[in-house]
Amino acid sequence: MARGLIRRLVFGLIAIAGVIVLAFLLEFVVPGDPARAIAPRATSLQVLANIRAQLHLNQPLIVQFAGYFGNLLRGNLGTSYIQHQPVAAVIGPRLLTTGVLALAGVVAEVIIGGSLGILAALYSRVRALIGAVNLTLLAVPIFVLGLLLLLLFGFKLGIAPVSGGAGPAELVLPALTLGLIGAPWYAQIVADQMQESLASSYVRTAVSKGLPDSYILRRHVLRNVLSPAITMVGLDLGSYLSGVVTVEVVFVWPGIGLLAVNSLHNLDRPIVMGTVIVGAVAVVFFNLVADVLRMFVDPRTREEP
Amino acid sequence: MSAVTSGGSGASPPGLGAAPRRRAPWLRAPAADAAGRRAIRRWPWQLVAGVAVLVVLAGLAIAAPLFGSPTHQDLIHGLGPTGLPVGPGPGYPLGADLLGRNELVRLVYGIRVSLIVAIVSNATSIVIGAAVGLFAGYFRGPVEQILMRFTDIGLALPYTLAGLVIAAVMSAGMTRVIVIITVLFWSYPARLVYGEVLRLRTRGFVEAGEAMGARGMAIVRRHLAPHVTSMMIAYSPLNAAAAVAFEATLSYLSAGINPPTASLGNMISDGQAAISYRPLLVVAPGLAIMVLTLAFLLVGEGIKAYNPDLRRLSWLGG
Amino acid sequence: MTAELAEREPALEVTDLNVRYGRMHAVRDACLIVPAGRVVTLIGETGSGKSSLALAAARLLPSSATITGRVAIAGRDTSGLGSGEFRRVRASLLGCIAQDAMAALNPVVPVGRQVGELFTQHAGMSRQQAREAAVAALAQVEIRHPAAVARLYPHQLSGGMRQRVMIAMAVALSPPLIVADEPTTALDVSTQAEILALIGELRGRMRSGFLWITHDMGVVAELADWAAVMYAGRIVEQGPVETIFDAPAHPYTEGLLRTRRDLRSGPVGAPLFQIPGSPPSPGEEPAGCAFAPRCSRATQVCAEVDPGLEPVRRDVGEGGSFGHVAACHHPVGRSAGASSGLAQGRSVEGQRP
Repeated sequence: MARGLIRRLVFGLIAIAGVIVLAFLLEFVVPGDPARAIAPRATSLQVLANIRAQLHLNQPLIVQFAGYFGNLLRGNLGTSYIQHQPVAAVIGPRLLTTGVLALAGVVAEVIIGGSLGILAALYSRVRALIGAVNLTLLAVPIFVLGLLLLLLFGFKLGIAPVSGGAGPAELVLPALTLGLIGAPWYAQIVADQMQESLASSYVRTAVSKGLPDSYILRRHVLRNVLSPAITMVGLDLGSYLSGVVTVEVVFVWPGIGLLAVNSLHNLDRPIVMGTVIVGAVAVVFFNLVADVLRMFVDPRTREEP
Repeated sequence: MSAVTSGGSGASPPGLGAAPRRRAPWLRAPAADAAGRRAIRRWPWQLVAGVAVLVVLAGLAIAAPLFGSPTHQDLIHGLGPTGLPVGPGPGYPLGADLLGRNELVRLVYGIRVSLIVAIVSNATSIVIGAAVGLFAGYFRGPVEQILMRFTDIGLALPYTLAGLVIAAVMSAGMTRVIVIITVLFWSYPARLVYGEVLRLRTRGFVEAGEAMGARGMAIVRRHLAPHVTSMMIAYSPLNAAAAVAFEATLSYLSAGINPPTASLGNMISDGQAAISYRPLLVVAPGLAIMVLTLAFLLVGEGIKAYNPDLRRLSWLGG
Repeated sequence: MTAELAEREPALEVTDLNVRYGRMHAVRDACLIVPAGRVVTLIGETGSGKSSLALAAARLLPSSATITGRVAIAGRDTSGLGSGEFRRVRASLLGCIAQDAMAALNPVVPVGRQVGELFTQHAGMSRQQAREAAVAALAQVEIRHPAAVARLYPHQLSGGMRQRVMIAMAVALSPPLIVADEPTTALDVSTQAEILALIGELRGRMRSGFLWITHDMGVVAELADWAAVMYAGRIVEQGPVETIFDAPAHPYTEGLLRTRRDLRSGPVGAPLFQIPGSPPSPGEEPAGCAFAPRCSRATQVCAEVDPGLEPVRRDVGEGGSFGHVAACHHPVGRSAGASSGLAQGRSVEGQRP
């Protein structure tokens, strides 16, 4: 068990390193002159040359990368071109903000999707209806859904805040949006797994032992559904993060996603690279967490194949 | 609640299935039984509905120039006395946007853009992905390892963020969007095809072909390609639906097609500022996106209903 | 003990049981008694209806199955009970042993807990008490180090141990009837021998009746007191095991035994006896005796009239065995041609040992 985790950790570190290299390389393809970005109103070429020298922009690539990597290891992510602050200081506080939204979204999608899946598996009458609901949710782009929810609950009904912010009231709609978008996937997984469980031999054994239906559902069926659902959370991370970024833009939620998008438009490269690296680390970390959780829940995955 | 004791009828996803009946030479039809042959020939309704909607939208897209100019700003008639855009009325069936442009015309042009992007990027991503999957699955060894590593990376990328990063290095326009979608989408069909090729290998197709003396590309072409083709045909509606949604998202985030060219996505981002008093500017393009996506998804469901062997794909697309 | 057992209600009494899946008639007019403390085996090939009969008696068939007839467990009529009522009493009435223990145990719950839930749900014990009771139950089926095993998951146990766990669950509450569906079929020979020995021992200690489904005549020989042979959904022969083996009356039974005999003691290299033909497909309803098409003794009356179970009377000079019945117009051991008269109705004489 530990061996498997260590192996995944190593792969994760390699992936992060790869991302760092890629991000760094990409910077040199991006059009635009960083010196100009920092000092847009400078007119003297000398000033620009000084800035370039300061940023070591004239050095060979390898040297620049070495310098950057060295800084990274010391926790120094560079300085924002626009805000003139250390990148780490800009990104840091927003980590928690995004984290809260991400967590709320996962909870929402598991609850909504799981409920839909369970209902669909147990009650054949609603199965077609839930299928239609799922199809509709799949067809909606996340930002359209977010805007429609904002329109309905924010503007028409007036029960949700419409201006940006980071409080609990502002959390509801974006989390709900994330939840609804992710729900169909969980509904499918949960429904399939439940149908398989309900038809399985061990449920028949449980019935033969005279156990009550609700007990069987709780103790036998749902437990077997948990493992694939948790795997799903882990696999989903890439597209989930994308969703978080979009939702932050739609609802003006002051997290890393909004920061990344704005910085890209402003060509504030250090921040962009910083967010990309932070994103990569987050993905690797949460994948590991999902693996650990899955081993915890499904004892069959504990032995290494 | 007797659901627990009733014993399930076997795993089948909550779906909209209608019974498949007819054969078509280009799709691997399920083994027909006598009842199947005698049954009334029926297409699954999802297929009919989806294709019908797509045909209508395609017609609109082709006829777009007849509607007018999407970029013409009429500040006098388009904006009312207060400077705010006019609502639905004569000359402006859906009203005007914030720059006095005709919303309906822009909508139709936006649909056109979405369709073009969907078709082109669908083709490119599937062709590339299927090729990667085929080569990885057939040639095995180091080729397989390298290709599948790339595929894994492609699958793990958060596609919106990655799209934004790529967008930063290209200039706005349809080319940019198509490139982004191709780069970010090819890994899904690659994984599907790879899995299918491995499965076909265990069923002996490859060994049989090699035993008959065929080699390399010939095997790929004659034995593997037909299976893979039908699988990709079933997968492409899902891919197209995702492409429509992703193009809209990118354009919304100004990382795809930027104004003044009309894209359903950038129409929404433009109209968001007026959402409180003119929600139509957001709702109309939003509904258009949904209808287009839903049409593709229905076609996909229809194909799966027609040939349940392809249910492997499910909504997750792999 | 025999006298005491004889006074108890039969563990299982099945009367006129019919099981249909849609149009398919899986079990026809079956009548069977499992006396207390006895092992009754249900023999037949795949599709003979033996599983359907047993599962119908245990009410474990899917709701798509239609069941008519009367089922009484330990004297209690269960066919009239609603599903909720039956659920409440079933653990105290019957235990079930499934065929594939790996699939029949929940893979994500430790086996101790799976045994223990019988005690928490039906015996009103606390979690702690149930845990101890589960360990005791595992010890009873001769699992060594039961406390340690109780913490393990099914996939960590060997096939034999899994089967012992299933048995432990079935006998935990000492129910009067135990239904076992080919529990040794999936095991290797030595493990099978161990399990059979275990059952033999349990049977000595408990007073439950066993309904044991199998297609393996060796198991029957070793374990059973009574045997019922099924073919195409009907019980075609019943009787004490010794009688069935030594003097089978139904041609099908004789065919089954002949194959086995050839295997064991026939000349090396000689072809094995095989009953020609194959059983009728489910859904077909042949008129007359279902075995007639394959029977070497069949005559016109066999094709037209479906024989009922009749007591087997041997030719003059041989005493019949009490309770031995067969559904045949021309039973083995009686010269073909002398028919048993009109074979109508089903009379199952008391099968007291």
